[in-house]
Amino acid sequence: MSSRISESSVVDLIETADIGGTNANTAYTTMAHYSRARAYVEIGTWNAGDDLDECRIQQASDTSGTGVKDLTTDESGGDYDTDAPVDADGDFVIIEIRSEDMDTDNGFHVIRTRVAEGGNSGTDNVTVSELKYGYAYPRKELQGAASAGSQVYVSA
Amino acid sequence: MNDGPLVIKANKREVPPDMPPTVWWELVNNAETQDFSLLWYDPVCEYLRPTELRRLRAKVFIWNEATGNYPDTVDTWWEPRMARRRGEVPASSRQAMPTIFENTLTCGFCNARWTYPYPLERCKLCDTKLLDAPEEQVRSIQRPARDRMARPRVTK
Repeated sequence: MSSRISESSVVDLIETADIGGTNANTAYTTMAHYSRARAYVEIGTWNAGDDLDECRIQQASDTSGTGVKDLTTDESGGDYDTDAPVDADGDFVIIEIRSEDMDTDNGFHVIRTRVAEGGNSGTDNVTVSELKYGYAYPRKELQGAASAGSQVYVSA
Repeated sequence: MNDGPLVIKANKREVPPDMPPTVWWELVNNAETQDFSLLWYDPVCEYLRPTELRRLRAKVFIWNEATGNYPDTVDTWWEPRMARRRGEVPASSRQAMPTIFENTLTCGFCNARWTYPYPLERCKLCDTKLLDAPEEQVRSIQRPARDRMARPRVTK
């Protein structure tokens, strides 16, 4: 007997938006049960005087954004190197993270994708999709189980 | 093994049609270990750094594998653009007539879309010299519609 089981994934979107002089963020959504996430950021009609200044994934401890902090960096020499920013129609950035990159020890299990442009010389359109995948049902911890409790479920 | 977040930056124009960007990136990374120095040549190769040249040749190889052809131009691809941004590539002698429609200038060569205020001399993506846009197009953009409607009627 065999079965084909397709993978569960969740997509969050920022519809094409003008971020000239401002920012845009996906909603805070939990990474519980998902092993990976990928943000796809694509630039549309853009102003020649502007760059995509911020492009990163952030983590928080709940969907209100409590304690939000960076999961990936956007700075000179960072994960998104701002010395070589994307700045033209058709440019895209893909950021892929794993759940083990998150600060789950301190309860950070929620992510969002953030993009921003600071120059604002004109209209700067960007579209973002954030995909969480690698879903697995909570399962009993097989090794190194905690001393308290007979069963331990991994929730984030 | 987790090497931390994966970040990809490129332009859609360098990804072969119908190929997902992440698949393309993996193929390019795998191809980079091979020597394609005799496969293809473009004058821009003279100005790239060794790592950029190796990656560009790998991209050309993947493009050829996917489409059966070599790219017409690599001026919109990431590595030539980075070299151009550093000022290490001579200006292109190519010229094209842009079009302006609904506050968007479209490069006549690479079709990159730019918002107002438009790039004055060259397309920031492909470095094509932009010839003067047709006069009536520019005029219709520069004058707000309500001014045209409020034009006083000439009576004798």
